Amino acid sequence: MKKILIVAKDALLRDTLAQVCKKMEFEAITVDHATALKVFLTQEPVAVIVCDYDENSDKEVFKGVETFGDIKGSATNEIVLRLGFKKMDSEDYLQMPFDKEKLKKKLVINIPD
Amino acid sequence: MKKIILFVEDMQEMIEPAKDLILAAGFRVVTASNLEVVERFFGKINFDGVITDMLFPQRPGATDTTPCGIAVVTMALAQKVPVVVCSSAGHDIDYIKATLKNLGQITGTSIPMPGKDLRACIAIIKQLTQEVEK
Repeated sequence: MKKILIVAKDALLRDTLAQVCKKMEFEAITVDHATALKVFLTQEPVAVIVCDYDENSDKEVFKGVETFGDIKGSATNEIVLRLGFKKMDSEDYLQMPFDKEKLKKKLVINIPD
Repeated sequence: MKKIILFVEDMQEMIEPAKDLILAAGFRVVTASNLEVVERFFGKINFDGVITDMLFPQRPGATDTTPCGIAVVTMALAQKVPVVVCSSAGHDIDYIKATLKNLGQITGTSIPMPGKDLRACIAIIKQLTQEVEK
């Protein structure tokens, strides 16, 4: 089973996303921002979802910006998606709340078998 | 599990090609382009090796470069992680050269400085990480 890393400050959000990803037949690993890079490097997931992304707010609160940068800088072929509440036009960004099908599209289509 | 290399460089155009070369050598790579990020990474990740530039900014968004590579070398030596300096400044600027030489003498380690030759740096770090394994 392919691994997916879910990074979020809020445990409830992590667990909810994990349930969604399990239904897409991923093995979901959930972490907070502090351990995200370490787990990314050791577990070698095929995809990462980074929550709490907001470029224009306090970076100390919205840790997603930092985590996304750290993981992107270390990623090879992995899909790295960012999730936030603000509107932003980017292929690797999803605005919350989002349709599960949108997430599935971004993940499943982009990950090779 | 693949060994993890920290690659420190502020020239954006160098980062992706360097990443590809380090990956091709069989490592995982973490990149940083300023000292603040390097410090944060050292607190989180146990690196197996470090390849560092010498002159780069202290903080994200800063454009003035200072010899931050000395701090990176010191952090690596403190954690007994092999380190290679990938910068001509290691040779060209006397006080940097002297500082690195002294750091090496204090810690009983020679700090390789093959200049701005990334392939040579990767070959050295590969050898050094294998020696640590033994």
